[in-house]
Amino acid sequence: METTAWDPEGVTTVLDHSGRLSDQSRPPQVDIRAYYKALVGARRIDARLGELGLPMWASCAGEEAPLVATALVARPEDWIYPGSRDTAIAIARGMDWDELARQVLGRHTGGGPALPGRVCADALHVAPTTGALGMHLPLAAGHAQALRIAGRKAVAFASFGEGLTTTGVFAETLALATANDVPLVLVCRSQQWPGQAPAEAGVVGDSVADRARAAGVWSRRVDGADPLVVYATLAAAAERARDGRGPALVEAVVTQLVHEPPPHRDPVERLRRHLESTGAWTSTFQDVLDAEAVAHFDRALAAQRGARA
Amino acid sequence: MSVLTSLSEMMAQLLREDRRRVVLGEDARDGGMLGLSRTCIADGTLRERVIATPLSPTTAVAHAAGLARGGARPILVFASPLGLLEGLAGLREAARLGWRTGQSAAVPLLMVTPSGPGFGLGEEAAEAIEATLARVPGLRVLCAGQPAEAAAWLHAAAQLDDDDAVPTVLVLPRRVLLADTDEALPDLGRACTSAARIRDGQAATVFAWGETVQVALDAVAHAQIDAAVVDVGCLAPLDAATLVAEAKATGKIVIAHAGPAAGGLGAELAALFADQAILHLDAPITRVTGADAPLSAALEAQAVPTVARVAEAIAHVANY
Amino acid sequence: MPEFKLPAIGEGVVEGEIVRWLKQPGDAVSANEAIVEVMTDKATVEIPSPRDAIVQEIVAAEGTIAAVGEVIALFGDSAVVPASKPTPAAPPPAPAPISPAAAPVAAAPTNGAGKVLATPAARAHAREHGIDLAAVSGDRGRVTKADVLRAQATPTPTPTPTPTPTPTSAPAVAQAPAPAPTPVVRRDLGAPAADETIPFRGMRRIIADGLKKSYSTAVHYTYVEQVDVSKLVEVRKQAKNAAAEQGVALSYLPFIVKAVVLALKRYPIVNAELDEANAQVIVRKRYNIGIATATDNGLMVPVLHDADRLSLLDVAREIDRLSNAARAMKASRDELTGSTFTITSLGAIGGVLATPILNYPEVGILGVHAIRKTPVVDDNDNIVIGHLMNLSVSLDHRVVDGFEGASFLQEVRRYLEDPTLLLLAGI
Repeated sequence: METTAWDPEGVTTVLDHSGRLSDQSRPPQVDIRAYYKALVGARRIDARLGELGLPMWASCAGEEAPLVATALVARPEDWIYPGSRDTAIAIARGMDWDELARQVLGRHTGGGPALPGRVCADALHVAPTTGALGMHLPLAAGHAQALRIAGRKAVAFASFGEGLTTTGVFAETLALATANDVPLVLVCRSQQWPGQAPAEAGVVGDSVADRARAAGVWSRRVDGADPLVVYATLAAAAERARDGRGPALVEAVVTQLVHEPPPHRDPVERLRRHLESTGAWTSTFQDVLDAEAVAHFDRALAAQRGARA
Repeated sequence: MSVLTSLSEMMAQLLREDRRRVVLGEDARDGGMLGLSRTCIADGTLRERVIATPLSPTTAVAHAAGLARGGARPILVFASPLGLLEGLAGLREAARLGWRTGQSAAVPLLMVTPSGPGFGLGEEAAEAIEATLARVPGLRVLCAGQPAEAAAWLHAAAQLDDDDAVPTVLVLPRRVLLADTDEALPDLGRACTSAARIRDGQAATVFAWGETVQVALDAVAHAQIDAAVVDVGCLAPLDAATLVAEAKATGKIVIAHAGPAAGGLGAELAALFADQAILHLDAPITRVTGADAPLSAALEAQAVPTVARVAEAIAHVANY
Repeated sequence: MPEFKLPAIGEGVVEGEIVRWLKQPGDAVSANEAIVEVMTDKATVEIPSPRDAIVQEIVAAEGTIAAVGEVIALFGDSAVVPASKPTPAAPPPAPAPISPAAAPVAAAPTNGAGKVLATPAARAHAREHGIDLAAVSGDRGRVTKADVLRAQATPTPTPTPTPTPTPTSAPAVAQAPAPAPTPVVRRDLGAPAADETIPFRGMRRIIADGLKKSYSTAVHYTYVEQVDVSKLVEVRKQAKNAAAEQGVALSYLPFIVKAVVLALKRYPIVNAELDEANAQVIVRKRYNIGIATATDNGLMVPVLHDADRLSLLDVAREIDRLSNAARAMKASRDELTGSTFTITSLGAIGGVLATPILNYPEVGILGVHAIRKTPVVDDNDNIVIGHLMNLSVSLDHRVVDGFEGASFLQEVRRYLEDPTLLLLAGI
């Protein structure tokens, strides 16, 4: 497999650029067509959200794999604390379309996520996003510890971008989680060329996974453009946390589509190629997926706008 | 019995009463810097529910809030109010966590902090923290006043079983912590969310809380004026109905509290009375507070108004 | 160096003219001893000293107008006369206590603009129990609830305070017809005299201020009616002698006062005032008739309190006594305030029509013109000599509608045209 300047270093992959499983890899225990469907849904709705002109909103196109995989790996009794760009988690978790539309438009008045475009699905165990930077990490750690104290075999996930790893709460959460062996899975998306972080911040080319390991946290660094390795690694992290073996951090190196990378850096395209290579993808299948997600969301948006008028 | 001992025993009682309760704090596994988890550690059946937290105030608060959301009943003990000041971002997040769910989910989190002078620390540690806490939306702020009631305050504050329980801070003034008490009352005898008149009087009404409650009682005796004393007790949200009714009763109001006057809760009370009791006011609403400047350890007592100053204020409004 | 400030003299009084200093620099004055004579719009009063002191310096010379609260003199120590002038760095003095003697009616401390200084609780209690705050003494520079409760326990009758009375307008003067356009020849009388300047102050300015307030606030309208008082002239002619035996010079005015009171009882809205601040019309239940009186110092309005309770002769006696007191500047503040309706008699000068200016905040004022002998057609179509009098009533249209105003005047007319009705009404 030929590597390009677009391909991250030091990451684990199972799919090559054409979507074929590498020789030693076993396919993860996941319904790949359902996984693909969730990825397509996340991508299409992200595009729709981008058209709404929401304040302080940013696209997650290209970063869907760790988000959707978190939603699929998490069991119903688990809890997920998403970051501010992680609406795809609630969508993949099966959030009600009308509720989704209501929240992204910022229509809730009785309390809710910090900003329009963010969602909270408490009944689905998707916690609200926080106002203070990175505060969902210790919240998730505490929640995870409570689940452990109560004797439940449940896990809490916290999803965030590598920019957050310069904050104090990130370091504090690692310390707190290791000190108490809490069943916490930290899901970090590292951008190859982060848009906002200056080089001086020390996150470009740095491995968050290495830093977590240095802090005593089990960690893995995987290719975020490879949905299957992301899923498999998250599932492994969750399993060991569930078994009481302590917190874990999975760093997925992602490429934002705004940088217009080659097609194999797009996780949706990579998994489509995989499905095509196994004969499980047809253009009809794709047409149905594209239409379905958008149709549900557009109908719900129209209903919300009608309710306003 | 010292108040600290009564609190340590009450902490153990709280853990015995409800298996969901856990005590957290720096050095909590060693009994804590205030010794509040000492009795819990000594009891082998409770020890496992005492959790030491790293030196990370912000995360400690958010972590405890997460515990509360996850079904536990965390009691986070601070050795100094500085932890809450440093952890303000986490505190703000914790205070609105239930609201953020869109359905006022319960966040049964109790935080306990000392405050004010008494340990000879000066500066921030000698300041009154409650005004800062009271303006965090969604937070309940309680303040123990009389030493005999300190343990009862802890017990009452920890009752967070309501479906919409909110994070609560119990402020324990250091002077109250250092006091001795003949009998530690097991029960507050009133809702911890209520203000209470603890001395009757016709000529004036002194509103106070924390260590200043005793100062107010002494000042009334010193002034030899028939003034009532109200322990405000619940500082956020204020028990406006009771406070306004008490203010109306005499119309001559002194508000005494520790810490600076500027931006203090005394100003909040004064505004409340001006708003809702204006036709009953019969003298200027008079505040007596601590110093408005940083205080060295040697001068930390100036963070609390003196008996003489409060007595003077009582005489001023009573004879107005 | 203590300053002696012009104290609050009474409600509505914001300044006074220094008429005469009764003490000069170097004089000793004891507490409550008169020190200066001050003229206000109400009366000339002697202001007592608040304390034992030596007059150090007179700041406000005689003839100057001083605002309430303004320093008008400086005191030295009562024992030692200081040799030096006061320095600007002198500590601020204690506020001059308000002597009850200076304010015959209102002992309550005021802010200098007429508003009683009272705590909200005192205000609320006074309002609730109909207590006049101005009559409550507050011995610490303010009225507290305790002061009101004390006053309530020992009630003292005080008249309802009313604002500054204002005089009516002068009667209209007819213009001479325009001369024919003939060449103008001016006689040589030497250089024309220089314009004369009259100081606009004291009573004149107070009168002007009151008129301005009235004219710019109330919505005036005037209604005029001709009244045939022939029968009244007969009645009065007969009563005059009987009254003279009792030492009373009976004019027409007492009859008019009685007619007005009876008409006011029928149309109470005319005996009222508009309290704009509280969005309410206060209908007065006392009938205190102000009698506008020309004096050397300008127009004054002594008040006939409770005119409905006075007999006709007593009304006459009171009018006589009050107008004499006003002219002599001896009328008390009590006698110059509290009117609810005002009558301005233009009798001697006559005139046909006037537009009286309301004695604000009253809503009605009656202008009475001279009685003239006029040929009238009687019931039998004979031309006889009748005694006709014009009445001009001005009303505040914000409170009194045209129909009510006209009805009121017709009611007055009814009594004056048939004095038998007055007798039946029990004057």
